[in-house]
Amino acid sequence: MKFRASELPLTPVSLRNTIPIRTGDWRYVEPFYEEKLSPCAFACPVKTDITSCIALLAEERFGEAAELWKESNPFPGVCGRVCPRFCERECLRKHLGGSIKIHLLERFIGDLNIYVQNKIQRNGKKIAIVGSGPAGLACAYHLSRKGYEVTVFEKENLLGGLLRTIPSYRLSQEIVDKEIEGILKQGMDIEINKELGKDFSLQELKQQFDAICVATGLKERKLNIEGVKLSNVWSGREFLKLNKDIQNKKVAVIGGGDTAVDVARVALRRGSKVDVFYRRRREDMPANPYEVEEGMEEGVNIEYLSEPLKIEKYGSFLRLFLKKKADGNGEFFIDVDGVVIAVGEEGKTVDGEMEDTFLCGDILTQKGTVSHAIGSGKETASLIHEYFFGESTLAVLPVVKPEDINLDYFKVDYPPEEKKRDVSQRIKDFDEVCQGLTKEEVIKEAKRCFSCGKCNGCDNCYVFCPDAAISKQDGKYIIDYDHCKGCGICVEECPRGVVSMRRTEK
Amino acid sequence: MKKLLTGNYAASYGAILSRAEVISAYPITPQTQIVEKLSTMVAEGKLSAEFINVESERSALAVCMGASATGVRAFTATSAQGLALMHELLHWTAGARLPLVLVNVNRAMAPGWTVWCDENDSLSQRDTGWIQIYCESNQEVLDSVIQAYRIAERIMLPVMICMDGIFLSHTQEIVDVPEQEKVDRFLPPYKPPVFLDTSSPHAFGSLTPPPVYFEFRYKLQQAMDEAQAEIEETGKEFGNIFGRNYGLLDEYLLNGAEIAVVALGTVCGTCRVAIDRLNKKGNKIGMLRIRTFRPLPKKKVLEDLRGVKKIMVIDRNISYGHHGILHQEIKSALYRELNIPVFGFIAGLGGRDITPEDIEQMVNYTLKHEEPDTDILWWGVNR
Amino acid sequence: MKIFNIPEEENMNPGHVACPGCASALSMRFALKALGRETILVVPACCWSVIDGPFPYSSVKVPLFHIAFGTTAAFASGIRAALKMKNKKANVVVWCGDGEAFDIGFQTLSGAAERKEDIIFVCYDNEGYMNTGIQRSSATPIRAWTTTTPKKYPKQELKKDLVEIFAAHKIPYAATATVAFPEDMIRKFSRAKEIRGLKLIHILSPCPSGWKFPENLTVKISRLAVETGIFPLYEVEYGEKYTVNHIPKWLPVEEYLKKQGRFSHLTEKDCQEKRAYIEKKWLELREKSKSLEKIPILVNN
Ligand SMILES: Cc1cc2nc3c(=O)[nH]c(=O)nc-3n(C[C@H](O)[C@H](O)[C@H](O)COP(=O)(O)OP(=O)(O)OC[C@H]3O[C@@H](n4cnc5c(N)ncnc54)[C@H](O)[C@@H]3O)c2cc1C
Ligand SMILES: Cc1ncc(C[n+]2csc(CCOP(=O)(O)OP(=O)(O)O)c2C)c(N)n1
Ligand code: SF4
Ligand code: SF4
Ligand code: SF4
Ligand SMILES: [Mg+2]
Repeated sequence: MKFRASELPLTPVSLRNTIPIRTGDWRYVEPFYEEKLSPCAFACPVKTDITSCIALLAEERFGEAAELWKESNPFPGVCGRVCPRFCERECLRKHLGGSIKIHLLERFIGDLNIYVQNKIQRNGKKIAIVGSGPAGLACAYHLSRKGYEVTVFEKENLLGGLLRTIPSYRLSQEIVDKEIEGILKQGMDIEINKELGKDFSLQELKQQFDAICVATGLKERKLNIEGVKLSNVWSGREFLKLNKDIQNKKVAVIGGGDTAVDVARVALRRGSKVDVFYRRRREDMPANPYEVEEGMEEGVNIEYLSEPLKIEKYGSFLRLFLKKKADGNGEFFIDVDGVVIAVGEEGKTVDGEMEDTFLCGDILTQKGTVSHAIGSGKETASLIHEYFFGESTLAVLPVVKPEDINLDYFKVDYPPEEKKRDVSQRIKDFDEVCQGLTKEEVIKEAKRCFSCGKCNGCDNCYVFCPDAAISKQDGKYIIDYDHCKGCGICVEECPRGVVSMRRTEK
Repeated sequence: MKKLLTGNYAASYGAILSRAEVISAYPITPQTQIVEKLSTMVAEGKLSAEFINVESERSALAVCMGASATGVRAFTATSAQGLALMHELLHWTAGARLPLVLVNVNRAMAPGWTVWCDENDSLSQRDTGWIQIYCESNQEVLDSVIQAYRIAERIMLPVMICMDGIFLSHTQEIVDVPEQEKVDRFLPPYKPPVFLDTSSPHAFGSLTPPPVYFEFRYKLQQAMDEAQAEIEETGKEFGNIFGRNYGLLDEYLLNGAEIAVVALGTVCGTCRVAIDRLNKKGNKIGMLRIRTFRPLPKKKVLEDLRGVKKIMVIDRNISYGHHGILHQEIKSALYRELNIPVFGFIAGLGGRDITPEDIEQMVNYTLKHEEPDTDILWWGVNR
Repeated sequence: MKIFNIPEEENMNPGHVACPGCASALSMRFALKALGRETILVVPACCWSVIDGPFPYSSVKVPLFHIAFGTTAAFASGIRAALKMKNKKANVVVWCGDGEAFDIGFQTLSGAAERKEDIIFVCYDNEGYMNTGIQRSSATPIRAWTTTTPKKYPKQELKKDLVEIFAAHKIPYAATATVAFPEDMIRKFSRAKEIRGLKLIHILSPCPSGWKFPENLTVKISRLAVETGIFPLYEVEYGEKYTVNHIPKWLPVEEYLKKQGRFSHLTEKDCQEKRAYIEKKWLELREKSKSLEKIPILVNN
């Protein structure tokens, strides 16, 4: 800066604004906008953009919310009812009134029953999918939406896999029908009553299709104790399909998974008295904890640390021998009218034939939940797409950490009461136990969401920048790096962790 | 119109005729009547101005600075302690190039408390960047205030008009009060090039680092240099309209004089009486009244003093540790130009009378001595 | 989904030279949004005499006069008088640190208040002389560290209560504000604009360098000052009508103190003392403000 006296005003009178002063050069760290994965979305096996959908719900844009949800998960009605709610366990609202009732929002979205249009051009690639459980159908859905010509082979005469065995007091089969209908509308061929290994072979499929995806799920695990072949000893799935009254009978259920609990609750509804025997502790139960709770409310008795030894027939009843694990010698027995064995699933080991096929769902992950199956179907669809076209559609985003949220901006606020039918009523029928939310409740609940990692235009970064270095253009925030000094107030004051810091490259 | 006016009223009329729009002052003897007169005039609606009764001289000057920076003509007056309290702002006014006019009624500095006259108060503000004009009569006070605005607003430097307390401020003289219409012709409205204006926003006086500070100070000195011609021209122009001429200096019987008495303020009037008496006795004594102390018209001073044999400076002030302030100034003006002995008298501090007899005796001392016995010739001190 | 609605108009340019994270810069940004371009600023010696930028620059889009310490209220009075003579309207605003308002310019401010000068006097209070390198002022809180009140001998005296002092001058409007509450601050400036006479706005202005906290916490600390009750947000009209604008969450005072290096030496006893002062202030406020009658004061929780 050099001036001749003759060029200067009489006294220091400013001649220009400070924009030429590059205060940004002082900086050694800098903020940048980086949308992140919310912990709920990260925990969700389907990786649905829960946060954005909730934001739409909050604005009463239900249709858009449903479309967005279904871009990733075609089964919101199902998941909203039966998923163990991995998302809610991680929800950052947890300590400020309670996690967002994501499953109820999801259920609401599902019950809107909105179909998403598939306008994509077919790309000529033919894919065969074996198995129409949630995994197979999700995979078919996503592939169809990517332009593939999909054919689904199912050995049963009904699509849906194990969704069809989940009792209707938890999952109305009407919902399953509607959501499957929505999937089919994406465009695909269906071959029912076609069993792999019986009606066709992988070899044959390979000749007709460009790729094959196997999603045949898991088989029920057998229990190797004496007496399992006796009559009135059923497997879980067999029992659930029985569909006949067993009034005033006593039933023993062996196992601790969803099937075991469902068997117990079904038996209860059919008028029996039920005891469940599980070999480990309550916290080890693989069953959906909400469903365990509901079962217990209804009067299901669960004996923990009880290992079955044998079943013997004693006249008109069966005697089930067990051992209490806590005390080594604690053998005991119980006399019942029927025994149901529901001790989980086991996989068919992948044989050589399957080597160059894609897998998804329980057969691949062994996770045993609907949402894992759907997520796996979605992921396999992406892999297949990558296999043909080389483009990966799985973005990697950082996940919002609890300390990224500025809790000063959120007040304690409680979720709506979850509405369940009265126990005395509900055990009399197979109608749904849980009820959904009203429109108003949905909006209110959606508004409790922090919108972790997703900018919702709250303006805080713009408001609090002491350097007026953040401006708004077309609904986006622009950082003026010539002047941002890197104080990080925007990072701190962003309520939802959208602004991050990085070193400034010098 | 001729009126019988004290110096304080003359100063007030100067401000009124100059159409000062914002006036702020804080009372201090012997300036008080200026405050009273002007505030009454404003309160009675006889003067269209804002008068602000502040809580200190510092605030009085600050008010005037604020007004001036906003582009209106402002006026203040003070004395001694008040002027000293303004000190920081005196620098600021000049540095900000605000063309204020301030009347200082010269009064000695406390302690001990005194309301009597000497010029230490204003002379010790020498280096603040203000133009300083010292008056000899109430007429000159009035006329100088009017001229001061014209000079200030052309050069963009503040002007301090000084008058000796009590001797002028509280003494009535016949003063010709000019007609407003004539004054308006002489003094056009104040229109600064930049001012606090929301339609053209600027920051004034921001941080000024070494690469530019120096240049601003160079410009201030340039303005002081230009002020000499401006003061002269203004004085002449004033003479043309009002019939009373003023210049940088005021010479009395200097032509052919052997001894020149150099002084400022009312002591010059006393000198005139003494010189007349002395010259009647055949002496050749003349007087140089320093009307403009800042800028010091060095060239003119030299011209006027060339030819005299001895110079007597009468200082009603002192720079402790050195000597009379005017004495220093005159000596420095002579440096390498004129080799004439300078007799430096210090007299009348704190309002002690300086009579014509005192002056005559000082002249006699000078006549008798080739060189002064001491650096400071203390006159009338009871040792 | 906006949390704070503030005017879009930006009357301060980037490129000003405040420290990163300076609340006084942010306060100016908010203030000018409310005041608009018909505003004249008067700034004494303080951080803001640097912040606006060195010659030949200026960050604000309104005229600004840098004036000597201790003179702002008078200088501003002069501007107002001049505007009156010119028949022009503008907000005349003093923008100063606590040094000016609490100390060196206190007398001048009192004078202007008594004269009912039509100016908005804004003190951004960073509780010390920061521009000269963090010395104590009469706005420095008791027990705080500064370079002239070292940790071994921290400040022993209470901070002056500026708003109460000027409420006692019966000025038409006195208010407190701080950056964590932008709408509140902007509303107060907008109100001050509409009132004739002297308006005092006392802004608590957290200073990362002087208070020793990380730059990103400026707004957080401002918020904590309010939510712990240390800095009540309120307005006083004519020294009589008190309105409390925000009821604190009564967060423990330690949350505010422990984030700042200047309080790192405080003992439990000191904190207890702070709590007592907060409680006293709020009891006074409750007494004066009718709207507060039923508000519990929960400082000791
Ligand atoms: C009673 C019960 C309750 C449950 N409750 C829950 C719950 O509350 N929450 C939860 O998340 N999960 C629950 N589950 C588990 C969940 O249903 C499964 O994890 C999920 O359905 C797995 O999906 P999948 O698509 O991988 O396999 P499956 O659903 O098992 O589907 C496999 C499909 O492949 C077909 N298939 C098999 N072999 C062949 C073949 N050779 N040729 C052609 N087709 C074939 C099958 O008929 C079936 O339709 C429950 C399961 C049961 C049994
Ligand atoms: C008369 C005078 N004394 C001292 C100073 C030095 N000085 C400049 S800024 C300052 C402190 C300012 O403190 P404050 O008003 O609180 O503003 P801050 O710097 O904290 O923003 C001091 C003492 C000065 N400029 N003028
Ligand atoms: S607050 Fe909202 S975005 Fe954050 S984890 Fe919970 S549901 Fe997801
Ligand atoms: S608040 Fe402004 S200055 Fe601070 S880091 Fe963010 S953009 Fe930069
Ligand atoms: S020292 Fe403090 S108040 Fe001053 S500019 Fe820096 S942060 Fe702001
Ligand atoms: Mg300060």
